[in-house]
Amino acid sequence: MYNNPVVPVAAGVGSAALAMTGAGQLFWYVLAAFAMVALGMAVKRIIPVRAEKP
Amino acid sequence: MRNNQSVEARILPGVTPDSHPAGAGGSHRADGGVVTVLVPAHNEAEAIIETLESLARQTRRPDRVIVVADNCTDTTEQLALGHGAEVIRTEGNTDKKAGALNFALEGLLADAAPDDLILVQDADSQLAGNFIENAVRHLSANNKLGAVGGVFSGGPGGGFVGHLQRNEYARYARDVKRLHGRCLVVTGTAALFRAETLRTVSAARIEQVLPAGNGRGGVYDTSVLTEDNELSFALLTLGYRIASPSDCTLVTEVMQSWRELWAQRLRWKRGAVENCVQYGWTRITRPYWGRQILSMVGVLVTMAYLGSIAFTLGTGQGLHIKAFWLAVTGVFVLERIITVRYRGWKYMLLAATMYETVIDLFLQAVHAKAYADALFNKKKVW
Repeated sequence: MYNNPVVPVAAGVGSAALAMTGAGQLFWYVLAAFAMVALGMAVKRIIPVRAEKP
Repeated sequence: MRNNQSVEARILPGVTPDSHPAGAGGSHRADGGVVTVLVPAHNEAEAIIETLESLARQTRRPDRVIVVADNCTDTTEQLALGHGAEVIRTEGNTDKKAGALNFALEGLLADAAPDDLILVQDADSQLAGNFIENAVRHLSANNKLGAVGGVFSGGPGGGFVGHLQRNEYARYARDVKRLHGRCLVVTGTAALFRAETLRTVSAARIEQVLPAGNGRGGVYDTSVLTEDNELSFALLTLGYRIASPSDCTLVTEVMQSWRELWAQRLRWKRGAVENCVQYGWTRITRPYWGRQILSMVGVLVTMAYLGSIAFTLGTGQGLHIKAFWLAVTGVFVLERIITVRYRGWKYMLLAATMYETVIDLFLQAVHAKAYADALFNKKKVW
């Protein structure tokens, strides 16, 4: 309930640098698309947020 | 009629309001009404004293502390009494924590004023000294808030698996702070409610505006694995908001082994997906469904990807790594480093090695199992 659902994907896909595995281009594109979603969420967690309004 | 489970309770002898820590230290009616703490406990002899001591140290002392001793066979009751708490004992309760809390709340809500406050706290968790003061302030300041939950950090022990959980909890605390207290779930480890809010939940269950729960207006749904998640859905469905302000902190125990962690997370994850199914596709549940779908796809992607790497290496085709994707990986590494900053620079440095992939993949395996169990309706185990 409390963990970020995309982090495991980031670890699984990201840490292996999304190498071309020879399993087919379509397969690779699907993985790449998901990796991009994970990337967006990772960036969102990195960048600072605005301070709370008083 | 009370219920069909022959649950009984009594306040054990030898306890007077003056004898418990809150009473002795100046129990008072302040803004926000009387604060009663309910501590459901099942064989918590090892932790209950520390928990009660953390309550005695509160800057805004609770007016009553009630330990709900649920099917205890150890010395939990005696220890709680010895530390000045009131004790209610359940007998024959088969509905675990939710059943014990329903029983205690049934009596408590009958006598409570609308603005009285009830803090439900796990017996293995210790509140920060200003938890109640801050939680009461937040709840009093916003009538739309249905509950204020805590932000927890992990207690000591557990070796490597304990360390991984402490990192995970530190990241969650950072997430919640960045969202200014907005949270998906009011944690069961510690949450403060108005008596009136809980009465509203109870009435809504009877009127079938909410899932029936135990069928007798019990606040907590005894049919689910994650009663705190379900209660969060219930509050949101009734139009309340929920929050976990960053100044309401507590320490909770971590699972001491991989086996325990597996069991805990299997219950959490299956409970969460079943809560979504229970409430269906609504304005409230859409974000929760989104997380479920993302998690499910994530599991499939990881499995497919690791499988394809194994296949490629096994057939001698070789991997072709591109610079762009190495840069992408760099962002993921940065994310791991930055998000664990609450634990300090040493932990941040360590995170750069991506050693936490162990728990990430472990949690994905739990996810897959939870979905399979829910899909095939495997017997639920707490």
